[in-house]
Amino acid sequence: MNLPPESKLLLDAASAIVPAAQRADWRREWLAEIWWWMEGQPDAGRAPAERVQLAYRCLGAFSDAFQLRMEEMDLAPRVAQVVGGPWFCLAGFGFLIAALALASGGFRHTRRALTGAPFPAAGRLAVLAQSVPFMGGRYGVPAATVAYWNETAHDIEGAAVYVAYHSVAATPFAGPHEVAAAKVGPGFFSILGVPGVPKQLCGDCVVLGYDFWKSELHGDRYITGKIISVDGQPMRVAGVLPRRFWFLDSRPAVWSVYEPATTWPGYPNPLMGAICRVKPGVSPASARTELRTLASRVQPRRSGIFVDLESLDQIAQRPVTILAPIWIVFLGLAFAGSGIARSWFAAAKSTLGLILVLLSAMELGGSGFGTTASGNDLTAGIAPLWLLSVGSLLVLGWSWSDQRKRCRTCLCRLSMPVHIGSGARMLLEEAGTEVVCANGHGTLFTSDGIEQPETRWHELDGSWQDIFAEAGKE
Amino acid sequence: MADLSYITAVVLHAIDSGKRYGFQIMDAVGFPSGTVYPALRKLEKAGFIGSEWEREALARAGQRPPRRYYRITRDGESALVAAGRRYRFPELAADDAAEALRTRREEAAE
Repeated sequence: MNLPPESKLLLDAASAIVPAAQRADWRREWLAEIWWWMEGQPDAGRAPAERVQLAYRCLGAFSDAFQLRMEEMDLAPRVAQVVGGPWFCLAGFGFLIAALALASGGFRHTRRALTGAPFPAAGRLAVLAQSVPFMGGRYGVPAATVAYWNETAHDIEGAAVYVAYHSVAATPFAGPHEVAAAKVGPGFFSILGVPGVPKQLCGDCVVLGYDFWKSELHGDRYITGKIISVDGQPMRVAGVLPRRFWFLDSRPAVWSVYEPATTWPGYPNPLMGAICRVKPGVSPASARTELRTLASRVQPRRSGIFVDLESLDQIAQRPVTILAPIWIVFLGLAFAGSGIARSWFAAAKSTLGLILVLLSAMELGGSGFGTTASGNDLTAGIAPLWLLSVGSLLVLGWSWSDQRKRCRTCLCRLSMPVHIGSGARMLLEEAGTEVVCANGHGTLFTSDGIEQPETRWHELDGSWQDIFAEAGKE
Repeated sequence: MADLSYITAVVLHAIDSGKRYGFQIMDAVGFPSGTVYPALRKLEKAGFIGSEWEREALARAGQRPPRRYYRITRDGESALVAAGRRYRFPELAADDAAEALRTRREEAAE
């Protein structure tokens, strides 16, 4: 049989793992199966697609070989003992938390929520929106209203619009392709207080996001003043945003100016997100009242819709303020349960599990909880709230059930279930399942009771541990 | 091996349904070889299946290598009944035409 070289290589490598006594039969079986399979193929297993398929089948020979090797070395019980041990469970949670850290860019949203907005005097920065009382819905503000505030309001230093959209950009290194983009008012970056960017953006200027500059322009240090194409127009690069810059949940690659007359002429006065910087010493409530009064002069008043002003820090920290109190309740329940069980392990695994759930909800919540100017507070926060509540309940339920299936002495999972007694003779003897600690510390009997199965832990004396240890060596 | 895992039970179900050799079981249940073969080893070790090699003379007459056939044992049948109470087995894929023809020829020759 002419086995394709890649499949032959895989089979040879796998056969080296198989115990010597079984190797000849093992190879015989695999070669026979491969022969039959190749015979049944239209090109007798020689076409490229057939060769790939065969190589994939041969890859499974490794699992087969490992299985035989493990059986020979009797590794399975040892692996089961490690997997059933308490440290493996805690390490598993540690691994999951590390995986989440990797997937979320080092808990990006959680860090933001804890540290607040990265702008000077961020407490005076606010997001402006029109809100409706029903379910906390929020809408943007007309661009003309924002321009009017800029001209007339006394309580704010300035206001600027912003809106995210998808643009087509082309650089010297890459042809036209779609990127996340934003249109902002000329004073947007000046209001935020971002360093390294002109205070007023001109019409043909573009500011680049750090990631875009790093990946698509190879971190060109002399990029300022060079021309790239955005939306088919040549634009001069006015600067690059700092690495730590973020604004709400959007990560645009290119930022250019919104000009009411020329940008999107088909939509003369769209609803847009807006930010403002409140003057020092002015309370947010006072600024809100002034902006509402001014807005009522330039836009038709609709009942139940009001201009609202919310601190950027408050918005960034919203996931913490909503999720943390609920999480603390679950943590309290976990500690109360662990106290009843008198187990440090129950407390440790519940805490790690709850931390994992909280971090997952925070990372999910970072892009929810109404961190955009428009949207709906309630619906935006529902997914992380559900994740936190249901996830915490599942973690506590699992932790409690897992605790019951562990040895009361060494905390290893109990194994080797044996059914005892018979339901038909329940008056003479109690029927149920008994599991045993692999280290010989005791047995746990769970009765077959339909309504409330009874569990009984029976501690074994020290001599059993010696017998179990001897059995383990054999 | 008190409780069969779902995968092992499905492999046992395939053998009980007349699938007799490794690649045929793989194609029937839709699991990769790296799942099916270890399951076969576990089942054989537990005594739920047995295996036998095709007669050398028969294979030689057909100019092909002898094949290893698996069959379910009594213990395996009992274990499958117990597993059937816990799991719902998937529908097994039918053999492809070429495979079915070869199997029929092979059985006729036997």
